[in-house]
Amino acid sequence: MAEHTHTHTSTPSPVPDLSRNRLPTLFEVLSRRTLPPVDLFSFYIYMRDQQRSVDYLDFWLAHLSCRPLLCHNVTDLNQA
Amino acid sequence: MSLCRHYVRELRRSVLVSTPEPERDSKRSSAILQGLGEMSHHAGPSMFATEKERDQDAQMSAFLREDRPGAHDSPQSSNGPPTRPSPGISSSRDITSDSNSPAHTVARQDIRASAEKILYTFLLPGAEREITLPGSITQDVTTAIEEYGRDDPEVFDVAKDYVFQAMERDAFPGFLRMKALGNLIPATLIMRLIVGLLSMFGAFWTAFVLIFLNESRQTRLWVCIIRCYFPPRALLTFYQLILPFTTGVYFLASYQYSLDPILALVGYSEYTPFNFSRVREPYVRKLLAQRALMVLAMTILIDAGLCVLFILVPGKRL
Repeated sequence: MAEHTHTHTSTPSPVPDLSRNRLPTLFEVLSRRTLPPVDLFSFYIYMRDQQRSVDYLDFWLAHLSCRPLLCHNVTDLNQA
Repeated sequence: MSLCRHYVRELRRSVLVSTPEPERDSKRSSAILQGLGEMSHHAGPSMFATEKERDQDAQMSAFLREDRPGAHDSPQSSNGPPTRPSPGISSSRDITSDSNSPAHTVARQDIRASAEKILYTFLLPGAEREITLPGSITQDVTTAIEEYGRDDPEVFDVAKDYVFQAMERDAFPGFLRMKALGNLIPATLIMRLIVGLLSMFGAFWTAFVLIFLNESRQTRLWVCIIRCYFPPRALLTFYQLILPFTTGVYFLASYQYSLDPILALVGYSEYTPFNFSRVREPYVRKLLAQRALMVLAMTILIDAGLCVLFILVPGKRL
């Protein structure tokens, strides 16, 4: 995680919003801005054990995995 | 690819360390972790936190579309399933490839492989972990990747939005209900129901036995209130009547509200069966505490009512 943050200094690491006086939205959960028991890990376990549709969440996470790769690639191509 | 592998290692380690449920359907679980490990990593920072990031992403997509390798760069894409580039080939195309260096470059080919991997794992009909999407979305993504050779992030945007909405509509309300309004999971709720019903059965059994044996009302009353006068009987009544009623009402109430009031007040929530962790989200904590007080008050009221009723009811020797 430390290296990850170091790698992408342009995108700030998500900070859980402690002053939120309401229930979190799905987007906040997925972007890791919530704390247990409504964090991404809990949601993953819920999707796996209760909802039995963890593939949806995995697709979402997998789709995101392209982006940092792209950041590197584009920076490199631009420099070239 | 080496960057990807690095993320995979990191993620797998973090998930393996923190996952509390190693034994139940471990095969499926490990398959999930494998899949997660292969294709995803820390999700947070790469999401669009701001409009600026969204713009950056759009620019990146536009850039990649202009520069995309097209059909000539990936001839395998148009006929049959493409072979995933091996790490050896991949690193030979890298300008600088060092898995320990955060500033290393990632080959364009790897991005393409990543997009194809997502397509073949999740989207195509009959895929290993196929998700149900409208046919038109799957068709569009397949066409964009295979025929037009696109690999920019916008390819998946429609599918991504659909999946987000599906999760928001189908799964998320239940998740919030379970985690923010209760602190127990369905597996242990059933167990609580069983224990609660058995306790109530025992309590009613004892209560009716005491009534039909015509134990004096005074005895039943006094043994409860002034135990020191009749210690053995008081103890007996406590174990036979008050304890099962209390246990029964407590467990049935926690089943009804999916909430263990005492654990909620202490600040714990259940992740997997009998595995509790601290509630750290402030609003959820407040919500759970309020509900716990309400459930606790109701439990005490019903419990007291039942005990008083079965202690005061006139006895009749059969």
